[in-house]
Amino acid sequence: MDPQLTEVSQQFERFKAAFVRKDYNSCSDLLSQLKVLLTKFRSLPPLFENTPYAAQELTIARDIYEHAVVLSVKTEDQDAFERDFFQLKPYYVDARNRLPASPQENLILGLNLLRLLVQNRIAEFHTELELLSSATLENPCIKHAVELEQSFMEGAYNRVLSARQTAPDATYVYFMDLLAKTIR
Amino acid sequence: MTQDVEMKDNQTPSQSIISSTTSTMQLLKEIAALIDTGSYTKEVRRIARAVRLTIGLRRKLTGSVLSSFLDFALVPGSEAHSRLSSFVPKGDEHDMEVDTASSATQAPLKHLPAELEIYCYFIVLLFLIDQKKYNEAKECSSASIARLKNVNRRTIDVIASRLYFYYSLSYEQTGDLAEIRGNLLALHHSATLRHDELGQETLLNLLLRNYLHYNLYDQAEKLRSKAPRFEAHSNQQFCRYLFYLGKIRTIQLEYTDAKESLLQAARKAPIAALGFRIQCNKWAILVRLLLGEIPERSIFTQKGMEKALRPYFELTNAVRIGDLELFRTVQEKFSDTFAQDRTHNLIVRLRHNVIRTGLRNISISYSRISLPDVAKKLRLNSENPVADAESIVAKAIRDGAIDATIDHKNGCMVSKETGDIYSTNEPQTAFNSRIAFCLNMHNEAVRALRFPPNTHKEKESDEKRRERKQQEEELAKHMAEEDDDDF
Repeated sequence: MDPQLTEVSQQFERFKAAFVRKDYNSCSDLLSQLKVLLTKFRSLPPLFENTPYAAQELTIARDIYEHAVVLSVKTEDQDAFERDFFQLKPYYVDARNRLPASPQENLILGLNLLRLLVQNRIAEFHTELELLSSATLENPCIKHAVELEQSFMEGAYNRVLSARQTAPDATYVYFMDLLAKTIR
Repeated sequence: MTQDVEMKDNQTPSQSIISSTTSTMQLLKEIAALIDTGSYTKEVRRIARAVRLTIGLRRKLTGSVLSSFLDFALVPGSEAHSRLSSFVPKGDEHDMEVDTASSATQAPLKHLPAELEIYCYFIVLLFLIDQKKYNEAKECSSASIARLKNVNRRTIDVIASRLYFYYSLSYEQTGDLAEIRGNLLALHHSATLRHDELGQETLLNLLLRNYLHYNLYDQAEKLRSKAPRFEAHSNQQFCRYLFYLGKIRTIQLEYTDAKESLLQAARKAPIAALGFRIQCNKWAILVRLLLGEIPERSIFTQKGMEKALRPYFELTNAVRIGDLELFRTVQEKFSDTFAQDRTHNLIVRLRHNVIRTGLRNISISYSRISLPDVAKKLRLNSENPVADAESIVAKAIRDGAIDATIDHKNGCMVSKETGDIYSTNEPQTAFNSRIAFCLNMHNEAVRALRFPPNTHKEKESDEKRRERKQQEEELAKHMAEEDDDDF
């Protein structure tokens, strides 16, 4: 195994441990170190070189960024969320035929939709929506965000408020609270 | 010209098939001559004419004609010749005999202009695409693009832009459009550096198409806003550009701009491009619906479009009536069509407009109506329709869609009396805007008047002209003052 890869995966294990402990400060420290390490991999976007460990490197990088996105939600940092999401996006879009789909993908996409909704960036919201296939639109995480937008446009605010209880994942609650605040 | 005469002697008039192939051949040769002189004198006009003529010939192209043309135009045994001939099926024996005879009489061209070579690529590509051999077309077009990169001549631009188009088309037909995106970007880059505006225009459209094919609206918009714009060279390309622009803007919720460019695209498109116009109209209808307008019936009954626009007609009907139930059935009934047109997401957005219209109808017909009744009339199917109705009504009031208040205590919506509109300032403002429009139109018309420059010169002296100018100025001033007085 490639020494760099081992280093990254060890670091990542430490990061995950801290993440479970909810020690977010050390999490962000570890994360920035991880990101620096990731820059040394040549198989990652935008280069996409065919190195012997390309698949593993891509997978671990994607995992790291997915965690970074969730972390930014936990620390309630919207700017970091946006940054991390855009770093993550090439893994979903351009690396689609190099990697098996990530189980987290729909969750993250739904979170991003929700963020755009909260920040009232409806145009971007719809642009993102166009990227999704009809199968993904049926996914509960995505559907949740889409229905929210609709009730928003109609003005059915009470439906938005009640949607907080039906949120598909714990991470959604943060954005839902923000939304509820806007409505009131 | 002597060769042409010889050719005629060769042909046997009784055999009509051969005569048609030879006449095509002859036309092709004329075109080749045109390109030859065009490249020699550096006249783009001639090349453009050659390309136009080729499109006319397109239906008559056959394998044998092509292979003999290749023998004629390219040096046999050269790299381009062997590569291109491999794409073209050989004709039957007799044809070949005629052709070899004719090409034997031809003194081989001493030096081959690059234009002619590229043109050969172009015509073979055209043939392959017409024969639906897309994989071969892909190979051929890639080879031609590779060759094009090494040639930098303005006279080639016309053919090159066509080549780009077919290059992208052949990849689209085989379904791997994403592959060539990087290539197209590089080509656009070099076209910009070479000031090849036609090429830039074509490539920009191809790139936009490429992005939109994968719904990458974000990237498409970024490219579009950064790419240099200039006066359009080709009407067709401009139409396409407008259409893509309209699509992007629709997705980004800039409906007013989107409507403008979509309608313009539909108007500018040539009559023959029925499919394109149908697409434009579909999108334009949706955008107008989203804007809250109802398209006129005449749009749906345009010649050759009734059938294609039928789903959209029923959709419009549902929105016009404001019936959620009907809207839902239409949406389900034509869901395949909408998915195919990739307009499904837009139609989901329309739901909100349907509710709005329904609500407006209610507020017009009732001066006072209870919220449960509103919910029932709008057919809101949810667990708590009354609360929904309340908040929907509240939002509509706030957005100014209806003029009403909510009586929370009794749980009903009270529409304000419209009253006598003529007692308010309303008629005056309406008049004002109309008069302003007319005056504007008149002024614009006056400004747009053009007089032939020389008609007055001999008749009137300088003095008289000065006098006339003064008069005109006074008149204009007078008019401006009048305008001011009016308002």
